[in-house]
Amino acid sequence: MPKAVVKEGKVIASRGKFYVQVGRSRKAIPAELADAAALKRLAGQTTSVTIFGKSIVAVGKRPGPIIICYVPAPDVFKVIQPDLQRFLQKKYVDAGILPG
Amino acid sequence: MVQQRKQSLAFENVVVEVTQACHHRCLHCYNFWREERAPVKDPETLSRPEILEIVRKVRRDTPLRQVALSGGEPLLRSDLPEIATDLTNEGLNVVVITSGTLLSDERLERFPAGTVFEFTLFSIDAELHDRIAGHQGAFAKVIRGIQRAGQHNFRLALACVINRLNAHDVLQTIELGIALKAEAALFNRINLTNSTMPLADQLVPTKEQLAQALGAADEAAHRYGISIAVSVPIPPCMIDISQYKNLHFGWCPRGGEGAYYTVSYNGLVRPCNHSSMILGDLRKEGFAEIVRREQTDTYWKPIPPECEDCRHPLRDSCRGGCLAASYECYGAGNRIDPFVTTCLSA
Repeated sequence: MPKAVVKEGKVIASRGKFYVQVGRSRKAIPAELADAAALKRLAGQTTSVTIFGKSIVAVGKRPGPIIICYVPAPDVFKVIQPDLQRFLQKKYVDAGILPG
Repeated sequence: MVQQRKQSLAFENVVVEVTQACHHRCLHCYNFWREERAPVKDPETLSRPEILEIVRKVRRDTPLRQVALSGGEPLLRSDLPEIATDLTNEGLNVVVITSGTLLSDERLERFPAGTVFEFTLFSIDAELHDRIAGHQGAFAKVIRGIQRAGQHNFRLALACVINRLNAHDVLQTIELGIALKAEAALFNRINLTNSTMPLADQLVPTKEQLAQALGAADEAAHRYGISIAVSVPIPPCMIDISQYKNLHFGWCPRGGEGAYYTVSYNGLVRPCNHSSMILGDLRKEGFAEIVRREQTDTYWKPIPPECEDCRHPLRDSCRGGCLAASYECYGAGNRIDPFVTTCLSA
């Protein structure tokens, strides 16, 4: 199973699309990862990029001191890459824990 | 000028416990009413319009962003979707803190878009989950309820309450949460209260178990990119938390900016969900009036004497762990969080 790697990358907005530049490599940020407004706020910033296999799993700074005991702070949410979610769904369906 | 003064409280969150009723009997339940709960239709229970009015009252004095609807089990109230709609229409984020077992399609269709559901999974082992929840068949119902909520495109957060029975199971439980479309997770270690203190030896994990559970959560955060908040404080004198680089550790805000005062089912205000201390009555008083009074300020102040000489960089964040747990278990805020002493002696 591939492991997630966290790297530093710069978010770039170009012609209505969003990319992340990690070293020399530029990858398109999957549209389902975050809404355009959230990505617009990150454009031009260097931020953490989580890569799982060949896919970008998460883009964005890890939240700072916004954690509140008991209730999830709104800023704590990250969209999980759908492939990854489906991978785990299959794993737990196969294990008989989730209904098929 | 008047506006500035009114807005000078910085709180962005409030918890409203819409009912004390609950169909579960969680082993670790911290609610001070766990042995004697007001029923859903208790005459003191705030009505839907009263909840809206009370939240508006809080909002007049704060830059409120988010309301957490909690309980008991908030979904035992048939008008919960409409309460959430009222608050969403006010421009507020709404989080429903639920066991997840009562999420039917009919109910979900009535909730406004944007509602977040925070659901609890104790384990991937159905039998263990049911045992901790004190409700046979709960696991299967949570799974079905959360799958439905995901199909309705609601955002989901997983809450894992870690105790001695399930500390070994954290990585798989978070994976299962992600499989169910959770986008954030809370790692909440058990928090003791007066009625669970006698069970502490059975429920509080050992230091080694806690470290193992944190390591598993850290691995999940690293592997899947999910944000995991270690929400109930774990004092750094117990465990070197700096080794868990992918977790976000939270501390008791002690009445500061991140505080989330809690409104009981009958409008009484408490310092947080864990505390039984009554600070005031929102049906009769303003929120700022309650929060600014001396009794409230006094509540947040105590620091255990053992912590006064602490040299850890996080000393001023930690201040002895969960203050409410100390009050609830010992009747005094100047004792170290009972979780710390129990865990270290286990």
